[in-house]
Amino acid sequence: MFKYILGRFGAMLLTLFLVMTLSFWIIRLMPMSIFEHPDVHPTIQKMLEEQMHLDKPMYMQYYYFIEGIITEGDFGTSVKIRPGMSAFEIIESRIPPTVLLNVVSLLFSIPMGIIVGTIAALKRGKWIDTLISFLIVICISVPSFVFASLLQYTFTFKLPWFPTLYDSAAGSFAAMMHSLTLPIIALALNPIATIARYLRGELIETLSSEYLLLARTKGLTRAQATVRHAFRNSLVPIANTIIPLITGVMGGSLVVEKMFAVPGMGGQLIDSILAGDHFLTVALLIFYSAISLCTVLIIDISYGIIDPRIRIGGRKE
Amino acid sequence: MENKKQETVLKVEDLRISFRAYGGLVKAVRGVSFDVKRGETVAIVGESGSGKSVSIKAIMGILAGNAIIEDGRIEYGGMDLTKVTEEDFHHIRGNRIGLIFQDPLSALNPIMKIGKQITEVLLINDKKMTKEAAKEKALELMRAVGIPQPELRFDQYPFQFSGGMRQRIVIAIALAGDPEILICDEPTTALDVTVQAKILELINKIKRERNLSVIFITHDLGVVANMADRVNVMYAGKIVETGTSEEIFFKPAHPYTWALLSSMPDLQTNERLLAIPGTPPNMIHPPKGDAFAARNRYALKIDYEQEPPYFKLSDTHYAATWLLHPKAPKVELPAVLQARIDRMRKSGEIDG
Repeated sequence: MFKYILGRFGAMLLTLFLVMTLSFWIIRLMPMSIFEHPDVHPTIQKMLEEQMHLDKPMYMQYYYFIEGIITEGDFGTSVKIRPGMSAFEIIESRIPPTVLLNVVSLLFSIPMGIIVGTIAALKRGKWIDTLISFLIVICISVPSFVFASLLQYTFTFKLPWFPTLYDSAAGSFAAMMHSLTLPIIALALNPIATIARYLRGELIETLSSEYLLLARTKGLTRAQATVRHAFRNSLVPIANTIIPLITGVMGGSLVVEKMFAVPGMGGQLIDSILAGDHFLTVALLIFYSAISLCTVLIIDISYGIIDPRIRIGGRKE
Repeated sequence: MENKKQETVLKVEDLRISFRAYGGLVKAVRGVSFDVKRGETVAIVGESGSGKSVSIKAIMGILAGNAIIEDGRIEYGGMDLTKVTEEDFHHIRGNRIGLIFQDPLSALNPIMKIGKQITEVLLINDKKMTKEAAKEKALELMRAVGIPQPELRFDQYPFQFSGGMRQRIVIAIALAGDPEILICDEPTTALDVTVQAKILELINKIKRERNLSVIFITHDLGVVANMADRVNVMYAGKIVETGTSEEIFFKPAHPYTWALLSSMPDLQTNERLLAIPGTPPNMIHPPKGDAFAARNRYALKIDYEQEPPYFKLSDTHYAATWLLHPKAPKVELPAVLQARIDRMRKSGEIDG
């Protein structure tokens, strides 16, 4: 198991390095100098460019960029949004709401999706299954920002239960969660529906499998057999669908954060791209990937826990 | 070979089962009757879709959700199993009737330890049993079915076992509840030929040691010869011929049994294997008359109009074919088959 985790961790570091390289080249190869502006005097522009190694060839800039990250943990400096402030500091202050929003949406949607999917599978063909399947189609096909608007309209304008925008002055965790409720729900609907849909299919298949029949010939009741034998087996393929969900949720949070004015990384990323603050954009992209890679790692590890074939499979018997 | 006054353990009477399907009701089992006595092996032979698996699933109470038991009784221990509710059935399964599945690869839960899959039966059926005692019993069962190094194997998963070893585990699970009837649903079909013989030997050994009644489902008459005391040949949801092993193998009376026997691979001749022409009938609209008529070289006109009754050949041997009617034309056994039966008799005499 340890070897398996180590392997997954190594793969994650490699992916992160590739992400760093790709985002550096894609963003930095965009035309136009960062400091070109009618208000900036050409000599000052030249000086700034020298200071940031922008006068050097691209591969040297890449070298400085990687060197800075490895030796000093320096992800670059913001030049437009918060001139002079290190990108790392900006990100540091922006991480909590983003991580909270994304992780809570996922953590909330996994058990919800499992419950909904299980109900649909066990009541297969009944009206409740039809209803759930109908809602699943809606939740999968409608993007999260549409739900965000609908939720804002219903629960802040018509029924003033939640604040329309994120309350950045919120002191306590509870107050923070309260103002994050709507964006979390908006983000969670799609993953809930996706998980429920997969689990329903998987569970229906496992419920008709031979080993479930065997379990019932052992003298287990239908409920016992379902819980002990069908459930865990259905979770194995579900773990796989959660990985793409993470990226989906993170992508959705880019827009949803902006709509609810959550001072997270998503809003900052959009701002920095629009402002042409390339250093900050690259740093944000790296952190965004780092968060999703961490979640993927957690899923990979739990995969190993659920399925012994993954855990032991690597070992030669 | 067997004692005539043996006690009957299980009695199936005029069982009729249909499945709801898109095209209508699929009549899978159409009036099957047979009984099983203590300590004997009864084989049910037939090709795919003849209703043999469905009949035994009804005995275990694990029919699929769209199945309807339309008529008939399954008498066991003073109960009619067709009337037992799901809530009560799980006491019978596991405890009294064990089932061995066709495909050991898919019959075991892939992510549960082997040991736990066996002890589960013990713990569920005996509330007073401790985990340690269950483990001891499970190891004992694993030894009894011939698993080497049971202590090591106890904590392994199904994917670490070969097909034959998995089937032994499935047998151990079936035995764990200490049943009096063991149902084997094509237990060797999914296995290698060399492993097949070992599993059959194991089933025979267990049957003798525990005085079990065995219901053996197969499509392979070759397997039946070594296992069964009595044989029921099924076709299209009906038993077309029933008799002792000797009667079925040496004096077969139904053309379908002839066809099955002729299509058995035989090492002693170079003849082409005889296939049965055609396919089994569509059971949504079972044919009028004898269901086998359309594939039967010896079919008479009446076969297409009226179902044949059972004609008695001996106290134990019955066959449902119009050929046995006194007015029917005399049909000799096909020559190929007669030669084959003579050979079997000879080798049987040498063996026996």
